[in-house]
Amino acid sequence: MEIILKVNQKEHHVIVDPDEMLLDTLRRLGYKSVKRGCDTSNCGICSVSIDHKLVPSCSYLSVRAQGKEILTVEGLEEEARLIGESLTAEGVEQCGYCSPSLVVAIHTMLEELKNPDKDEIKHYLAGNMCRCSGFEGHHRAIKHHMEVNLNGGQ
Amino acid sequence: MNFEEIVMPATVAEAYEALTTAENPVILGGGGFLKLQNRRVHTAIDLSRCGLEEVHLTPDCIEVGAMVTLRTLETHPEMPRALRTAMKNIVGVALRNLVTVGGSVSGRYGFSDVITPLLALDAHLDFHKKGRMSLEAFLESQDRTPDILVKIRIPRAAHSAFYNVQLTYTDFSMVNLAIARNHHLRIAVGARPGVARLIKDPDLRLTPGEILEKIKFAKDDKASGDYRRTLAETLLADALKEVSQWK
Ligand SMILES: Cc1cc2nc3c(=O)[nH]c(=O)nc-3n(C[C@H](O)[C@H](O)[C@H](O)COP(=O)(O)OP(=O)(O)OC[C@H]3O[C@@H](n4cnc5c(N)ncnc54)[C@H](O)[C@@H]3O)c2cc1C
Ligand code: FES
Ligand code: FES
Repeated sequence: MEIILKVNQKEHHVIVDPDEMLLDTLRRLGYKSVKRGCDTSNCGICSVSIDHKLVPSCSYLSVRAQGKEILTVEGLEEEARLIGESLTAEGVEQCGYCSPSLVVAIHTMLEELKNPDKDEIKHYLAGNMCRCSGFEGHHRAIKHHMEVNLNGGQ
Repeated sequence: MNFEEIVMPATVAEAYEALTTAENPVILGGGGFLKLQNRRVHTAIDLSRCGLEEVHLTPDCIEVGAMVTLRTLETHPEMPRALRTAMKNIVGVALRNLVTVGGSVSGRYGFSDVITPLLALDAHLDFHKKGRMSLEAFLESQDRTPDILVKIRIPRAAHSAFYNVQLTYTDFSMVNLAIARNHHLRIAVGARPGVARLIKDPDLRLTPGEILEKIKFAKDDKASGDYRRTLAETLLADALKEVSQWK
């Protein structure tokens, strides 16, 4: 079936199978930042934002995404660069496989929660697995991003 | 799960028509659990355009559409505390934005952290064809005639709480327990690992062990039945301490 998907503000006319998952369609369209981990909505590695909500694209049907705003890390541009710098500054990135979904998750979290504290961050990101680093680094990086990039260096 | 065809009806009546006429159909809630199944069907009936994503508040109950996500249950300020707490450690925010209350109830999953608080809260289910029935009756019923769960009515309980034990932050519960008091005190125990069971108006002079005596606990790869019983007794002792503070 032919559907129209709006990814990072750009419309794509694409033919999908009825049971095709958004992860596969996005990668077919060239959004290679979207990665596959568990393929069972457990690890969060495939997460994208749909209408400002974080969802696992491995378990979200492409046909359901019609008419919605899909956001991947490619669409975050400058914000992704700044979050990436904070992750690097805190020594969090190792293999980097989880980073695109982590950056999108940080973006949706900061849309949803204004100035989250450590417990709120921990709770929000509990479903985003990272097999290399410890999660403490993630908290430091988010704090760094909030302090340096969002609150004008306060 | 794989399917050949998907229909996206605009009303529940159309979805029900498809359920009764389509070849080898399956209803799609969030699709989270169906995704895990190694199964091939012909027609998937997607409920996401049937207008079942609303929460309506009435003076004595909260009506939750079947397609409302677990994340909405967690964050909606009017939801009873037991329900909000129970959602918090189900995997992660992304999963909870995907999976639905309707799919969680319809699946009758033994591990469910959704069914246990709803049972304690005396939720009632509105089906398109079968009409209204209590969650308690639904869980006991052997009737598997296909139908569509439209909404869930949750009475506004004066007080409620949820307790569970998980090996890790986002793992399945080894055992879970919800307690609610409106006019009556209701305790539900789930992840036994069988589906949740209810205890109504227990005699509070009894010990937690005595109150839970008739509830069966069994073994699976997470825990033995005896271990689960010990955990449940401890959770109930904590819950009863909390109940004693309820005004
Ligand atoms: C990786 C993973 C981990 C999980 N961990 C937990 C956990 O720790 N605790 C917990 O409580 N839950 C857990 N769940 C289960 C989850 O909370 C949901 O209960 C489950 O995914 C079903 O919801 P769904 O919307 O995805 O339903 P679906 O998968 O779409 O459907 C489930 C069943 O219900 C039927 N159905 C769906 N909607 C309706 C309707 N309106 N009317 C009639 N039938 C319907 C479907 O045909 C299907 O048989 C987990 C799920 C996953 C995928
Ligand atoms: S690949 Fe989607 S949640 Fe793991
Ligand atoms: S840096 Fe390797 S999985 Fe996170």
